[in-house]
Amino acid sequence: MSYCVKCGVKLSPGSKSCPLCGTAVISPEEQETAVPTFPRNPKSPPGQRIRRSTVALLLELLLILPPAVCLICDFVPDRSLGWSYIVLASILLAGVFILPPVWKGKKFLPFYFFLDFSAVGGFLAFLCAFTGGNWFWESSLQVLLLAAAEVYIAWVVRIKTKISALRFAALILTEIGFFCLGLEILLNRAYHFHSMPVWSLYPLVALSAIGVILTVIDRDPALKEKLARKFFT
Amino acid sequence: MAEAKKRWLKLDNAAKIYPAAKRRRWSSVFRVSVTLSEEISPLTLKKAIRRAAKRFPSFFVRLRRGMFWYYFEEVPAPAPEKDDAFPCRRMTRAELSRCAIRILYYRDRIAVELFHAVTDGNGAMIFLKSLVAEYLRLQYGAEIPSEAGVLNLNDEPKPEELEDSFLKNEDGCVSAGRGADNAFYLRGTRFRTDFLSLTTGMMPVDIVTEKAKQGNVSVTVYLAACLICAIEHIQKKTVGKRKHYKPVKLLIPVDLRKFYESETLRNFVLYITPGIDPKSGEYTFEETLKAVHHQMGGELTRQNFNAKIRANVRSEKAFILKIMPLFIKNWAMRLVYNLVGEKKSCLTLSNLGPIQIPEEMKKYVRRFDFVLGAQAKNNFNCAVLSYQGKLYCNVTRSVKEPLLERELFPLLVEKGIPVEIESNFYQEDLPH
Repeated sequence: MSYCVKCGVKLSPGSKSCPLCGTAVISPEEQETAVPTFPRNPKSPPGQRIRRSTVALLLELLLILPPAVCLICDFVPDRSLGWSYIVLASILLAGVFILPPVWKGKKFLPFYFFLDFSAVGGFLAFLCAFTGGNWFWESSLQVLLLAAAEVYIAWVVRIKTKISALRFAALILTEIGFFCLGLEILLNRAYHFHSMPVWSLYPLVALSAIGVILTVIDRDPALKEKLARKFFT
Repeated sequence: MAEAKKRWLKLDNAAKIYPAAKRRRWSSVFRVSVTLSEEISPLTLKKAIRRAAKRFPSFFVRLRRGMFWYYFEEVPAPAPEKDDAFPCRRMTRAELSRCAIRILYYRDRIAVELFHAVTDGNGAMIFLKSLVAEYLRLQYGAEIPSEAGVLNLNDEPKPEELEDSFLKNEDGCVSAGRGADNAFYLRGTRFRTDFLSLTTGMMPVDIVTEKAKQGNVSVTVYLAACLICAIEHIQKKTVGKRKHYKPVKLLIPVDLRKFYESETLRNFVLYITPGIDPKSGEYTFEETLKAVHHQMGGELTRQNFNAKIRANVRSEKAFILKIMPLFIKNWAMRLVYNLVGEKKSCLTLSNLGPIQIPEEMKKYVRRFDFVLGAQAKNNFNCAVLSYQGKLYCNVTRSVKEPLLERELFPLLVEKGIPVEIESNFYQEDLPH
């Protein structure tokens, strides 16, 4: 019979380590004769995990099914392919969004960020070419780059600085306001709607003001606590 | 309903929440077990179960869906199964539709696992003692009298044993309120399977009783205070500022049979939630002991239980609830359970107290155990009983980190109580 040197508890015969703190126990004679309190069933170990690669493979197989059906539906009536390209591209885009994180986990977030925006760009460029227009190069690409820049800024601020949740919310709101402004400027430049920004000023002013209010609240812990109690409990 | 001929039973008032609250990965299951002096014979156990099934018709049932409520339907006695690597495995919908009771054996141990809607801990213990008495009669020819919670299997089941004592004892005209603050939540990394870790702390009853007597409290109050101090210590380590601290409360089931002289073998417990609010200042162990003692003293009154029973029964009898189809009722009850069911306490502490058995059984029985399964959200639970001078404190958890055990048992050692530990959790089974 052994005792844990750390917890002071008596351990049952055959314990290799203390179940409370994990401190190792050395008593080989007892380990051989000990009877476990429960059968050790290899079918249900506590940490059995489903492999990510299996889930990714299953999802991949599931994603192949709809495009295959679409290709057949598009091809059979007139022996040519048309609209099914859009379905194929959409599914490919969904695959790029879903499969890498499922397969590799959260380890490669910057890579997923780059990959996802590239995939959206590629998808829009394909749609543009497929429909015979020029809108992707005139406006969509710029809007996409603007969105990517704003997401990147928010992400870097969140990861690199110890910004509070309230200040981060303020940053996001202000970014949305500026995104609206940027969007209108880009659309005006491409399609000559107005010479000056009009509608985007409303969300910009409102969201920036809320952002400032949140920052001011965040500076006063007593006020923050009071508001939290008032609104959340 | 009460006669065996009808072969179906309405769920009792306390049981109604369990089928509604169960989910894909969780159902409320608990276990009582007995360890004998010799290896179990499955054949004899099978015969004993068949005999017990006639005497305990409310235990051998399956869960069925009605239009408005769930109900139980009697089923033939199941065969005993070999025990698993962990206790209180969840009962799936398919399993519940076959039988809501499992009888397991492993070496010298017989365990009974039950869906909580069938009965409570005390009812289950009466069943286990009667089953074991019959097993000993068949296996060794032992002559065991029907006393100390062992029922005579030759008798017909009494109507009082099958009654819903909540409905019978609805009294008074005041309904208890349900408002309370949310309690501190013990976090952890959940096991990927429904594995349940069980850590048993065994300690001498006389020393625990003496320590409790020194503080002028009962053993339950003493253990509750130890648990609260252990949880409070975890909160102190994991939550930064005192203003973010939450109350540390335990859910303690109270057996109402003593208060209402009921003989029912179905659920007849209500809960009290003693605890401390560390936000208002630090508590010493003695202060915690006093706080729990006075809170429990104030709540353990027949009048208080009258109000609680009335509130529960009134909800069941509400016309709108009665005519609501079961699937809507389930949805509403699950919502209520998620909002208030487990959030008002950190964990459940259930103490069955000292287990009494007839003198003739004692030479065959080495040990009793009581284990609570995991809850849907709360990751830890604690069940206690004592037998033959030893107190068995079974702490279960559905997370990898032994947070509570690591605080509780060393605290008991620090108080001068020698604790022996055993566990079903093997670190080497975790993936590296």
